[in-house]
This record gives sequence, C-alpha cells and structure tokens, in this order.
Amino acid sequence: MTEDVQHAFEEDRDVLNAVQIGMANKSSPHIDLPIDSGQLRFRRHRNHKYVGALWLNWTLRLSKNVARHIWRRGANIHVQTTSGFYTFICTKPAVSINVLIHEKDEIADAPALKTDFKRDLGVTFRRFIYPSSPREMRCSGEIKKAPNTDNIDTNSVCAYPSF
Amino acid sequence: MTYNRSSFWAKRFACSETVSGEITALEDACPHRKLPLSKGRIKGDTVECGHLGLTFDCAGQCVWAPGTRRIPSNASVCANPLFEKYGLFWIWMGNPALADPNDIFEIKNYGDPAWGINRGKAIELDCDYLLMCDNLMDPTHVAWVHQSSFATAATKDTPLRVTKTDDGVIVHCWMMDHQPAPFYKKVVEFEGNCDRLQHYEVRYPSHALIKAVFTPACTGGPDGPLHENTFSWTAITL
Repeated sequence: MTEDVQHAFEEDRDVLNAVQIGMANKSSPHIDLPIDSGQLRFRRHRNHKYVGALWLNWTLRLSKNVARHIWRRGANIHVQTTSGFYTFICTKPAVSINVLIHEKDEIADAPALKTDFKRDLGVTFRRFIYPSSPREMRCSGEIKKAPNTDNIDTNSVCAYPSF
Repeated sequence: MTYNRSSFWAKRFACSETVSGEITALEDACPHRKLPLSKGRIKGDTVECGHLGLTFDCAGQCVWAPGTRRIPSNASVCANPLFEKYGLFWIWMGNPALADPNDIFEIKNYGDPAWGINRGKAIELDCDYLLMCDNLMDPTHVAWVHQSSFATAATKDTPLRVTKTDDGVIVHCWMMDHQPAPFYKKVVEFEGNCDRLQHYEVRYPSHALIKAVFTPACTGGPDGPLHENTFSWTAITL
C-alpha cells in the first residue's frame, strides 16, 4: 500500500512541478473552473488570515540589541523573504521598508503588497527587478501610518516568523 | 541521541532530544561563524558547537563561550517549540508564547489497534506549496493523474461539495454504485460495486487530511451509519 501511495504522490509531483513552471512563465492569463472553488476559497481565506496580518506581527528574527536599535533609530530595514517564509517588520511611521521577493514567493502577487499595505500602513511599494537577478524583485516604500502596536513589547522587538 | 537536521520554511533546525527528554528545535547555525549546530555534540541538556565549543541550552541561550567570562548578550540561537505527535515532529514557527500542541489537528482512530498505519517517506516538490494544497483539495484530478490507481469513471464528473470551516476548506463528494478503483479493489473486503466518499480537507496553512470511505453499493452516502464492511483510510499530508 505504501508503495502505491508513494507512486501516486510521485505522479502528483510530476504534474505540480510542471504546473509551477507553467504558471511562473505564463505568457497569457490562466483561467479558473467551477471545480476550483474550494481551492480559491482556501487561498482567499488563507491570505486574509495570514498575509494580511503579517505586518501586525513582529516577524523578523533579530537580536534584541539590533531590534532595539532599529526601533529607536528608525533605521532602514531590509528584509529578505523566501518562498513560504515571510518576514516583514512592523515599524513606526517614516521608516522605509525594503523587501526582496523571489518570483516563486506567492506574496509577490498577494493583495498585501498592493492594497493591504497601502490601506493599513500607507506603504506604496515600488517594484523593480534586478537584471542580474531576474527571479527576484525588490519592493520598497515608506510607512506613513502608525501600525497597531497594542500587542508589541517595544523593549524586545525580537520577532518571529508569522506562521 | 544525535542531531537530526531538518529544514522548514527555508530555515534549518537542529532537532534533538536532551537527557531530560525535552525535544528541542534550535536554529542550525552557531551565531559565531554559523557552523551548523547539528555538527556539534549534545552534552547533557545543552549542545556544544563543534567549532569553538560555544554551548547552548534548550532555550537557545549561550551558556558558555571560550575565552571570556562574559557571554555576549547576542550569543543565542532561535529555539522553536517542538512537539511530537502521530510519529511526527511539529515545530511551531510563530511566537513561542502562543505555541499550543492542542492546535495540532486530530486524526480520528489514530492509535486504534483496529486501524493500520502506513508511513510514507518525504517527497520534495519544486513548487509553491499552495499548488500542493490545491491538489489536495481537488478530488477530480485523480481521474487524470492517477488513472492506474485511484481513478474511476465516477471521479471525472461527480459534483463536488465545498464546505468552509474555521480551520480550512473541505471538498468532498459521495460517488454511488460504481466499480472500486484499482488501488482500492485490492483492499476492500467486499465484492461488487461500491459507494465511495472522497473527503479532501486542507487546514491553514497547509495541513491536508484526506479520507476515503468505501461501502458496498447502496449502503453509503452522507446520511446514516456506515455498513459493517466499510473500508476507510485517512491520510495526512504536511
């Protein structure tokens, strides 16, 4: 039984790896079907549940000293994200935020970058792609609004991944 | 007791069991020169880096450093809460204060001697994990992707039902009175056609619970108790 299930997962892997390549390199829009409704619902709620809330969490793992420095000085913060591991930092107003995103990172197309950040933090990201690293893009913007810090201990801005 | 090096969410962890039985998941990189701690040694309830011997407790705090009596305040590694359940290690990636093993979802019948367990090995996919979630909420794909195992004619076009829960989404359907798929034909304990439940559930952010139920034809369906010859299996995918 185990071998049969393993074989089935390998069949899935072949398809999904190819789907990944197809979706990442599409030259025309993809379509959704009625049978996709469960998946789309999951993604929508998942985005709402996690991605939209990311900036409310202290998500960058920093030493306390560095975190305090950032908090007090309002230094620019560079945060690198990798697929499936989102690290954003929530800072006080007027701090700029820079995010490096791999093209496979789903957040590259997530509403958080386009609308949520603007709505909630006043951040408008400017995107540009480095010719030397075309699979990555950099977004940068400046936080205009004060984030909700009710649950944040500013003396230990040591932070964790959001999920 | 050895370190088991594992990678989750693009972050590497060194997982081990200490003398006191506590299981820990420390960031697999000494803060000094980033030698993986999994190359070090376990000493009691601490781990010693294999490079210069910096020693860390289960909370990731450095408790000894060479050449100084004063341990640098930033000499620490991330320590994530880790629990063992269903023969798997579950690492909490968020705020440690919020870690609750009760949040690990329940698998009914796990540990019941009437049920068997099959453990598969890990498979790596070079794709966005949400594509895998899509796949595990898509009973229809078996008709085309798994033709030699899970597919029957009924898997092509039986209408699906979608249920949103607090934890995720369930896509399910009962397929009535059709031949068992080749994979299941070998394991069901009755002859002839069957009624089959496909229950595809994914919980946030990515835990999938797949249930398959087979009953003799005309004894299944969403209502009522299941036949005594029912064959069921539950799979989890993480």
